[in-house]
Amino acid sequence: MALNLHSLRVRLVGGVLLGSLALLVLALAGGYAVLHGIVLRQANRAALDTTTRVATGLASVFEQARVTGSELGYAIETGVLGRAQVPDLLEARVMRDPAINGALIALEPGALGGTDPYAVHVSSQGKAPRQRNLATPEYDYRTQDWYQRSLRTDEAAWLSAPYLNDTSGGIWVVTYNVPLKRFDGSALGLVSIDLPLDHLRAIAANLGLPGGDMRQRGSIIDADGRFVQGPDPAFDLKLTVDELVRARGRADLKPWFDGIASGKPGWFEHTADDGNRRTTTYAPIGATGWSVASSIDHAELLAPLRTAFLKLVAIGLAGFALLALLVWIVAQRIVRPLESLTDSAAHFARGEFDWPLPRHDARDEVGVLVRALGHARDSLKLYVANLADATAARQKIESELAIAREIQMAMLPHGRELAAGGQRLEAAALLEPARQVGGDFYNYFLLDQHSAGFYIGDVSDKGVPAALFMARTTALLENALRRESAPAAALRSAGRELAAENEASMFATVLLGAIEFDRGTLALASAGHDAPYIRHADGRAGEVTLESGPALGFEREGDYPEWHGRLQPGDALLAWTDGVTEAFDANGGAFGTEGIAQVLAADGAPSAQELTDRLRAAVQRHTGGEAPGDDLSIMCLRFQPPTVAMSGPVLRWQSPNELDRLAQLVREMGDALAAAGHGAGTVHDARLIAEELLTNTLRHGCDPAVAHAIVVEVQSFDERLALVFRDDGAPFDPLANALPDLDVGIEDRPIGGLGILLVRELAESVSYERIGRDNVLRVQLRASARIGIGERM
Amino acid sequence: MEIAIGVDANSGSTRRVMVSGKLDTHTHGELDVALAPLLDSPAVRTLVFDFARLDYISSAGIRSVFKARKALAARDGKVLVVNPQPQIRKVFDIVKAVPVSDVFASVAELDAYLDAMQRKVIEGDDEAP
Repeated sequence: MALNLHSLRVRLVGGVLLGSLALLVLALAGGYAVLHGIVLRQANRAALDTTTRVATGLASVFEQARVTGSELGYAIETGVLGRAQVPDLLEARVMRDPAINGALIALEPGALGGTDPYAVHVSSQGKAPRQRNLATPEYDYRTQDWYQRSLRTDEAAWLSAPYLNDTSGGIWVVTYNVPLKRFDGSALGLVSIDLPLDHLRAIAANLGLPGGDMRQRGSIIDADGRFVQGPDPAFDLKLTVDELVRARGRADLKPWFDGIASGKPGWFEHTADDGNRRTTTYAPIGATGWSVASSIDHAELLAPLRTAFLKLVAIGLAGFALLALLVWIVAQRIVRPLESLTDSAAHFARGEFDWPLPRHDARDEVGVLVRALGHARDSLKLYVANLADATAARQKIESELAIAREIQMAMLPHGRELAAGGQRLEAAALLEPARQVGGDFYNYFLLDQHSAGFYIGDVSDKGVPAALFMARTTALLENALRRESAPAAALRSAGRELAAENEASMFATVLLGAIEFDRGTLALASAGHDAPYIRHADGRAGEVTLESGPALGFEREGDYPEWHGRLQPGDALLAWTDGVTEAFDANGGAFGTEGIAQVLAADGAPSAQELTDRLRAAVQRHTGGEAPGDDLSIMCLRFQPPTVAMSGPVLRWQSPNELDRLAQLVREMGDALAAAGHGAGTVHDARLIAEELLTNTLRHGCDPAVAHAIVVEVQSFDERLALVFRDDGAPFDPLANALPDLDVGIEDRPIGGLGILLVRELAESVSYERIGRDNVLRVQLRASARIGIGERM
Repeated sequence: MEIAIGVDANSGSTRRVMVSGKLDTHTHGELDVALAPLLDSPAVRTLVFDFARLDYISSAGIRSVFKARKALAARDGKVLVVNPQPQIRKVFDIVKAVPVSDVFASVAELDAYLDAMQRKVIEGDDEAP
């Protein structure tokens, strides 16, 4: 198993161990630093003590020699001794005192009852004393430096420099000289005591000054600063401290040199030439000018401390390892149940709810967690089981609803066209329920060979109840319209039946209409539904001013006003449900009839399908893809002109824009039509249409100051006449003007506008188009057979 | 000859105007001229257009009839139409220049109407103080 660095166990163990390690290192390092200071201080003090003790010991040896010399001298000065007793006395001293290996008495001639020079030296070589007379003719002691100095000095005693004493048997000694005076103060001679250097060294060694061949030798320095015993045996009796400092490059020992000069004990730390740190202590030997020094190496000094410290580290590490083990065990105890809990939780997450939970009966937090997870698991199992049941139930409902929707959609007409007798009604529609099934509906169908019926509506709710009510409504409406044929009567009839058995108090708004193919006459009635729009072939569009009756389902006897109008070829009727007008954008703005008017205002001659699609797309843009809140339906019916092939010759007249010439043209045209065998009614209508349109053109389209060409073409086909009027005047659409309202009182009616009304009413279709620089008006009218009217003429 | 106009100048407040031929952009001016004295005379209360020989009428002609009707309406007078040919009748039906009830298919019908109206006036006179 790979070690997860983020796991609880690793973090716990790591944290504790890192903390402990830091503590351990801190304690050991701090302890070492403190101990180091203490040990060094103690060692320095001890070294200084030793050095001082050695110096004191040596000082007492020198003092002893001086006292011995003084005693002998006093005996001679007072005359207690005679020349005869001197050698024996000296011999006794030399043999008894191990620190003395030789003694000398040298006297002026005439002293102690003799006139000759007198100098006798006694030395102890081994067990036997040896006397030597120095007053020989070969050796005149009185001329020697040491004798001369003793005669002249005022000192009580003086110490010689170390020298190799032949008289004492060729060993290095130092001599204490005590000058002798008579009572009158004149020089009498001297007593001198020889102290062997080896003995001094031995005493120093006894007192603790390292000597001999030891590596760290202590030093004994004489009054001249010369090593009697140096740190290196090679220095002995050859080198001075000053030379060592200056000539041998031991600048680190300069404090020593200065310390000796000061005559006081002291110590200093320095770095020796071997790079080791040392402490050097020094102390003067009484007032002799001699001194003792010794040096200790810190490394050696601290070696025991280091050893002890290493042992401490080893013990610390062992303790640390023990701690690590302990923490690991504790962490395992905490984490293991958590891990198995995590494992179980992972299985739960995968839906394996039957995976066992770890057994953990402890009353700690983990135990609480285990029990809580157990409860959560049980709840989740129950929930999932319930959810599965609910999902299954919902899927069943959804599949039933999907079937219901298919049935509902199958109830809608799917044809793209209604046709009768060469006339066509182009149809397009869509229905989008907000839920699976909806309450919107529409229908269009042939009533007989001459007319078609249609309706569109919206039930007052959505979902299954609305769909059922819708099914009933639509069946009643179609039957009613087939039976009554008048829209108002059909609505009344259907409304009566719906209101009679309407326990659920539902209602439906309906727009219902009938259209006659022959002339495009349209009758509409509304039961609480939006009035439709009519878009004319030339692009003009407007809402039908249709007054509405009550919605179906409320009243048994509703009153439904009818609207009557005509669809010209190319005109389209557009109706919708409130899913269109009440489609809201993100800001809560409704699409409204303004949105519909905008869609219809677009140029061109769109088909019914195109208009429907454009409206749907505009609604979708408006809502920005939001889910529809309501069922949405659109129905568009477009009246198509007959697609009968033209036949017969084209009759053509041309005229300038002059009233007389146009009148003549109209006459000629009428005569030509009559001659071609058209009935008087047809001829009359054609003449009337031609006169009205040409007069209009002359009055509004042509500039009287400019010559315009006006062309009329007539062609007959299939019991119809097609008239085309063409002029190159300013753009002018006579059909764009509002028709006069014929229902107002005679006093209020303006005179005028009647010509276009006549043309619209007489013709089967009229359309205007601007083609290039020409105004083109196309008129189509039914050519009646020769009937009585014509014969009566 | 495009148009012929004859005014029957006999009986009291009623004048009969016979229009023959074609009443259109060109000819309606002649009708207006012929009607002017009748419309100016306050004595004339009823104007009867006899269109038995009128073959053709355009909006210009309708306008002339309409103008006469407005002028007479101002003094509670009436315009009646008699004997329109089918195509003329159709035009009148479309533009409603004259109420449908004031268009008569024959002179007999018209006379019956006029008689009835006459009686009404006389009875009204009798009742008046």
